[in-house]
Amino acid sequence: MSDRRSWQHGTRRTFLKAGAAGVFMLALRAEGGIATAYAGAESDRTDSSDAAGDARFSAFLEISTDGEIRITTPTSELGQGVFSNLPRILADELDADWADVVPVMPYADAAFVSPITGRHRTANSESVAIYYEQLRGIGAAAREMLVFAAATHWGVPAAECHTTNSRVRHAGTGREATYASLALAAAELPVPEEPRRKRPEQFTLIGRTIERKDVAGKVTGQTVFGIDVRLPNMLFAALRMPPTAGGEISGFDAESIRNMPGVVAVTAVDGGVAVIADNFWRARRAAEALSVEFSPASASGLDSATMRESLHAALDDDAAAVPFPEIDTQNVGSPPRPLDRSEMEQAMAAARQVLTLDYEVPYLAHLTMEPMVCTAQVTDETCELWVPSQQPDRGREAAASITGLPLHAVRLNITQAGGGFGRKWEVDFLRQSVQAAAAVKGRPVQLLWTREQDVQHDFYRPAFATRTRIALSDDRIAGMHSRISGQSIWRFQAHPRLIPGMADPTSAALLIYDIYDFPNKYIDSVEIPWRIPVGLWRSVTLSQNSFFAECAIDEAAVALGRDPYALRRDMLHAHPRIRHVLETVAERAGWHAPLPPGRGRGIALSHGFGSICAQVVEVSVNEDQLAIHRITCAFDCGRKIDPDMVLAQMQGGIIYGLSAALRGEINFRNGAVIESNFHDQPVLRFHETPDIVIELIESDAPPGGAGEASVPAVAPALANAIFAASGKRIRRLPLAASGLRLAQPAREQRGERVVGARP
Amino acid sequence: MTRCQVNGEAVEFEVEAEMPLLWALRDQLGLTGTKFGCGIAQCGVCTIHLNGQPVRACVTPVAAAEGQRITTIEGLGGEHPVQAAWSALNVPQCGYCQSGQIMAAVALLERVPAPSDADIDLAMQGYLCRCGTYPRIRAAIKYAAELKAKERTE
Repeated sequence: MSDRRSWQHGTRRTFLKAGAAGVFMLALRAEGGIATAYAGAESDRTDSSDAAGDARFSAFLEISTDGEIRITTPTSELGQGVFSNLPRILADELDADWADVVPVMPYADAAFVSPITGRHRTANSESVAIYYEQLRGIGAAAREMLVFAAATHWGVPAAECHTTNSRVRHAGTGREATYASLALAAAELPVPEEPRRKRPEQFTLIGRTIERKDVAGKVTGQTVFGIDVRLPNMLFAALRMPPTAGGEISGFDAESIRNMPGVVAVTAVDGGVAVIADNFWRARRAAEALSVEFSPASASGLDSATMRESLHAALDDDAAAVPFPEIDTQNVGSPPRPLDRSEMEQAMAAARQVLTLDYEVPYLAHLTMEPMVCTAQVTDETCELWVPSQQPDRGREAAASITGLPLHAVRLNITQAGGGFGRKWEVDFLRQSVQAAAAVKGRPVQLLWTREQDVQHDFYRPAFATRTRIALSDDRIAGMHSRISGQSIWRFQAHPRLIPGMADPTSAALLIYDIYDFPNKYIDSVEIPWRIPVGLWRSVTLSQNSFFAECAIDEAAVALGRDPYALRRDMLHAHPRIRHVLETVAERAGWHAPLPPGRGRGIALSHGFGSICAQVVEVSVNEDQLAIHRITCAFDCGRKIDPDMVLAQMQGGIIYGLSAALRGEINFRNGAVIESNFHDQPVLRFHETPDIVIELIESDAPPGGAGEASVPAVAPALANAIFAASGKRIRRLPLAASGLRLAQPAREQRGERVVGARP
Repeated sequence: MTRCQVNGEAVEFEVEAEMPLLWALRDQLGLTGTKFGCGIAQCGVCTIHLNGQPVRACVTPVAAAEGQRITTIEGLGGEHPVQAAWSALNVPQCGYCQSGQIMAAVALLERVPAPSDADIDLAMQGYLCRCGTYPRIRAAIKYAAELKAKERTE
């Protein structure tokens, strides 16, 4: 790396004018057809840490004169691959040499607010989908500016120049210049209004498996996760929390631990007391010794056994049920179709047979491998945070509100996250760390949760019960009514989009799949007003509703004497893309190949996040022993940024979903979570993981999401397979509750198939 | 005061003898590659080598390291065949558990140069990953075994 100081001071002033004045971003916002795509893209940064000799093209892109092309990924790396994949989208249009690209972690800033969601967040498997066009536009515009700078310097027409590997070339004169040498001049140019983007066949980085920029740090221990932030004079905080979910501590005696080694301060924070010491272990020991009093929590008195009864009893409460309109997910923005309960009831009355099926799923914890952690430093004028967060915009607002500082005085740096899965969407731990740091102003404080606190103070996927009534005619489904009962996530979050008189979509959406062609669908919901903290869990709604919806279809198929795959396929004639995914998985899994007794296959489908996933699980059941032989998955997410990363997400999502289906279960006793760590809330282990075969479908459709897409279909495919193998219907998760025990899977065939995969 | 060797260097821990090595490594030495996951030896993300044997640093008191040889992920050097295999196969997702996974795999290959699936199952069952990198870890261990074998013949 060359010495940036060799650049003249005058150059730096020029650069600052070009960068900080926001020329690039302002001009981009004037861009014709996609003007709105850039609204709000101007940084609200007040500080400037940019080194001399760097041309800052936007908050997303800096080209340093020593050749580094620094591209900030707008969303948080949770393991889903955005750290490499989002910069790559920009880099491809820029014609950057991938070896020159240095991805940079983001910070909370207006510049990174998505023009599509209006938020700066990492959620909904949306990162690629919502930043794809914006990143391409910035890369394409910067490329044209570099070309124009070179052409002007050489006195040749820009149209005669071309770019490759971070260089501009002019074939006629044989001249060539690096982006590094052109960057400062280019950053001062007006931004092209309509930069020419590549045609997909011109992509050199998108769609291929190339070097991932995060891997080296992760195999050497150098990656800085939230827990690894180290700052001068840093202190460490451990929490004492109440036993009850959502509870509070009403009083504590700081003197009881004042003399313990290393203790610096003791202070009340949201939902607990923070003990601040010179290392975490001392802080934790003191927190455990602290004398405290708990106030009764709203969850007090809740026990899992009676909660389950309440969930099922609520299904009979016709008066409390609120409808969920059918939403056409293929036409985003179209109004919900009006519900007609009477037609559905007529279909039930006229049916040859009505199936009534009661199902249930439990509360689930997220269990990221990195427990909740946030580092904060508060002074009278500033607040700085280092945090693995999925919601940096709200986190920054929370820090401003707690400290009373203006938003621009709060700097929130996003670190690599040791898993997210929706847990790091919440800002509870971030708030606590700001409150703790405010007690020792000037010194950074790293607040870390224990695993026990993580398990017992999560924002859980709610437990739900459902009753599905299926009207069957001679050979088809003539109507379906599905009712769900449980806590509303949106109610708990006081979500502004919750509509009175309409079911919370995080409970009810896709409880009956809209894609299946059968008439008289009716969804409603009974909300249970418990105050157990609930939140977003990888794949959210679909995490429960795929299980309910796809097992119901399976039960209908059996009652109709139809093959479960064939019935689904026949109901998908209006959705050829989805049907193709289903056909692909059936073919790849050998759906029609005969099986010995005791062995069976189950199939399930899910669609969401702009993607389609179908899975077949093949199992053997021998009394209480369940062996999973293979999970086959077909997946279509449209254009893939990196097939290998998509493959990784499919594998990971399946394992995450399987883990929950087998053993995921959070139980309450008098409002307190019974489970506390991995010994009593076990997750899927290495040796238990079955063979997973994945078929990625080639597609030019707009890129969809991959991070959550393979989670939902595992549980229903597995439950349906158990029925096929044994005749035993699984209507309750986790499977452990049905007395089934996982036997070591037989290793028969393994494989992944993907274009461009590494060895 | 506990004296030991960490990644080839002599170290004196000036902490309570009962403090788990995990915190002494992370908070005193700044070796943050070794992670905290559960605190009760259930997940394996804190795995280090004590005289070449994989141990859980979250339940190993500093006193147990007196006069011993400790290796952490930072001590592997970055070009160890296991690390090379992990990179070639893009094993990590979030990456948080991978230090422990790698330390476990290194120890396995020291003991069993060409492990079978059953050997790998046995050696790796105590190491949790929530991203679901298990299939790639299996492939990477086999690939690392090949790389090590190649190293030996060259």
